[in-house]
Amino acid sequence: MSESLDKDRLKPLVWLPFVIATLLLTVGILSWPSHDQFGPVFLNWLTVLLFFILATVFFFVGIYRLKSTKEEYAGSYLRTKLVAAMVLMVLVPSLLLQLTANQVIEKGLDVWFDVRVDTLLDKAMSLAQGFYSGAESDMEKSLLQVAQDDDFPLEIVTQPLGTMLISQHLGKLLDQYGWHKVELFDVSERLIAMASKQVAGQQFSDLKIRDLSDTAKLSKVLGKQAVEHEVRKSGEYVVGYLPLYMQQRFVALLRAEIRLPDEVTSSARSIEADYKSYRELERHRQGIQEIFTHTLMIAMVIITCIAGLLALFFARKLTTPIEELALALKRVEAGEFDVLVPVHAEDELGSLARSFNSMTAKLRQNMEMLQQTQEELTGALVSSRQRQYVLENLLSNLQSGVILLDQSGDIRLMNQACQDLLLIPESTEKKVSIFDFSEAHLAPVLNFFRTLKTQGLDSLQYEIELLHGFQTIKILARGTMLGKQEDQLFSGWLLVFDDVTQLAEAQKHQAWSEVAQRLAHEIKNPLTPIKLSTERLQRRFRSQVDHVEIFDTCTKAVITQVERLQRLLADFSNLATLPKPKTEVVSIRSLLQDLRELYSAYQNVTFEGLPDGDVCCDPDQVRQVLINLIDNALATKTPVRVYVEVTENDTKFYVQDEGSGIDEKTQKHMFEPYFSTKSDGSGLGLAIAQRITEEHDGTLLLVSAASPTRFCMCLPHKLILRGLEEKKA
Amino acid sequence: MLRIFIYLLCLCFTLTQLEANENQMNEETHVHIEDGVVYCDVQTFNQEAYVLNVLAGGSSLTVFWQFDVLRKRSFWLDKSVASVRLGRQVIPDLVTQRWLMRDLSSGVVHYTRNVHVAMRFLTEMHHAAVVDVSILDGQEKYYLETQLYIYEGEQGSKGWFADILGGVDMGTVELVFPAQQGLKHE
Repeated sequence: MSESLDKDRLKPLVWLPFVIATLLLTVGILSWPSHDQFGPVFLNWLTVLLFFILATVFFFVGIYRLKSTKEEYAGSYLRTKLVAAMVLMVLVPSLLLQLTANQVIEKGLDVWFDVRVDTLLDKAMSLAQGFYSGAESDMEKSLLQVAQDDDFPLEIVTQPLGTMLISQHLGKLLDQYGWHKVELFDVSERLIAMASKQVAGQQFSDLKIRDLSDTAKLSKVLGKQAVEHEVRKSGEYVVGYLPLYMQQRFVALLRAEIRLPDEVTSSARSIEADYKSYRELERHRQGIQEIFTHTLMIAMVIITCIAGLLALFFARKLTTPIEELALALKRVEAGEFDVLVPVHAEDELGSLARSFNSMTAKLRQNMEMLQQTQEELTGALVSSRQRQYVLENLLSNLQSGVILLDQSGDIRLMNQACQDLLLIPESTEKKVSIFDFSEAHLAPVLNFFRTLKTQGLDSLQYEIELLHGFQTIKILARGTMLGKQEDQLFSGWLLVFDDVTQLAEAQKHQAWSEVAQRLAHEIKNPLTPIKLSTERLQRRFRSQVDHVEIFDTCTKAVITQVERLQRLLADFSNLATLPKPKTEVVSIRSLLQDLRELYSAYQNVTFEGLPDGDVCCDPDQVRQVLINLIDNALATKTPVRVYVEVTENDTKFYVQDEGSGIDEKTQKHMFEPYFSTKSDGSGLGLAIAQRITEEHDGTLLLVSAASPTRFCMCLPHKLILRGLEEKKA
Repeated sequence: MLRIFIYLLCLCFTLTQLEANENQMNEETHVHIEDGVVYCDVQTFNQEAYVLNVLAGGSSLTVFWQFDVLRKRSFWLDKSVASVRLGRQVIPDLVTQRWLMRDLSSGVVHYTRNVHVAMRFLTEMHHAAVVDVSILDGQEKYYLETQLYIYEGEQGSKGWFADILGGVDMGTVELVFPAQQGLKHE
């Protein structure tokens, strides 16, 4: 959960390089040099290039981060955070410095380009320009005055060439107007006269005759005086041209020049240069600011990059041991305990790595010990489980019911046979303690345990009877104390129950059979001579006796009682020597049809329905059972119903009468031999009927004791299959 | 994020394109053919203030007008048919208040005492002979592309890359030849 939260928190960091790349790209585009860029454009291009390179680097860093985020290797987030923090630590002061420097530069430029400086330079420039224009104006005025002198052109025309008069005149003009040199050219532009002053710094080349300039020629053509400014190696000059006319005829061209003082011209030129530089700087004020800004920006970017690289280096150094530790921890988590982390340095991380190695070693030892113990325990458990398995199998296959109780009487173990034997219904809550045996029929079991417990007997054994419905189950209960109560080894009691009902029945039957046989043998033999003797007495002495009625009554009584005794003995004999049933598949319909015909004379016997189906039984014996039940029912002198119910597993024959019902005492003993409520009954009918039913693997039950009284003989269908198989065989 | 990045780039390029179009609207280029020669009259209004400012400030200015006659092709690289480069220069002399105007192509020099004249000398080019129509093919279409390079100072001191990046586009005009102007016919 926390891992996913961390991932969500770090998501913006993943996109950070892309944001920075975009910002850098934007700054790069904004730094693109303009056309009127002052100074070397190289700086601008360098800035643009740097920003583009950085943007590309950050873009690829972003892609790498995205990839590494998917791979999620340990320590990457920490490294990113460290690098980001260190870069920010450098970037923030650098940006502040950049902003401050920009402000300082702007203020500095404001001071530099102060309006007073501007005005001063303008004034200085005006002064210089005034000097030059003054010199030209003076020249123009001088030339104008010369032009007004009409004698001078005449003198040129009249005086022959080579005379000194013209030169003397020129010398006068030189002195009069302060010129430094004056020359006179004829119509063919040949020098005809010249006068000059010696000027400091004059060079030999200055004495050379110069060709007329374009301005001079223009002046000559136009007939107008002209002034021009010439810059020579020796200095700067103001040169004036005056065409001389005589009677509107061009006679000569006067060229006069003044050499401007060097100190003035140099100062003027210096002012001009400064003005030019100032204006240039003013014009590129923005550009200058940009140069500073770019320089600072480049420096900042380079410093940030270096800081970033250093941060990366140190972060890598710092996070590598953490990364190794994290990986090692993952391996330990996966169950590898032979992991060793390399110790890089003798610092806290090194100490941590050593501690980790020591911890894994101890863990490894503990794990080995644990494994050994586990193996031993597993062996013991397997052995115990095997024993338990054997015991459980033994108990589950055991016919006897077994209950293992602890000291407090809680049930530790109870096998299925016990549940079946004690008729503990599965639907009820699971018995936890012997004291949960609250059902009425389980009271003898609880009493048996209490006896065993309270008397402190080592073992106890007696037969108990469980009365469940109309069923009485005889159980041989045996209890043994496990260990001795005085010892600590005492662990509880073991109760074992065996169903001895059949055994008791068999024993009883056996006993009765023997009794019957003995009685039959001992009584039957004298009965026949008694009867024969009595009949003989009747035939021989009837006519001789005084009281015939009395004699008849006595002899008949003897004969009747002998006959009754003979029937009784026959029943005894039947019970003792009941043959094994000869089973065959019989139609239920035919079986009932025979009985219907037999009891056709009885109006109160009704046979309801003649269901289809078969039943496997000895028809004579089953018929005998049913006759027995019907006879008993007829004795009540109430309507008797006989009907059959065929279910999935068995066939149930019901015989119902509407007599007064059967009391509890009779219910308890009615299936016992020689128990009869009739004065002349042998008490063997129901006993024989039950025995026949049991011989057929069936049950004979009193379904309803109250009126209407109902008996049910239930014969299982499995006998049919068995009968069919026997038939096939 | 990528979408914002692309959007910003598109915005930058759109703004650049709009600026270029605005620049072109302030230039005038006219072409006329006389005696079988293509002449060009071109004038830039955009640069006048700048030129005037520089010249009044005493700095020299050198301009080069570059005329390129190009074939109307879409993909071919060999579009150029003829290329003419004409240079002009003005050197101010502030103390004497004169501006020396020099045609670098012919070498003709003259002075002016009016700075506006000097400015127009640089920002206008009249009757510049570009190409003889006899070398052009009548079956093809041509257009004239004009660029102006301005250098502060007496020489182009900004290096070779200034020629690549520093040119001001004066626009492109299609050459329309009237009939029988001596065009070459194959």
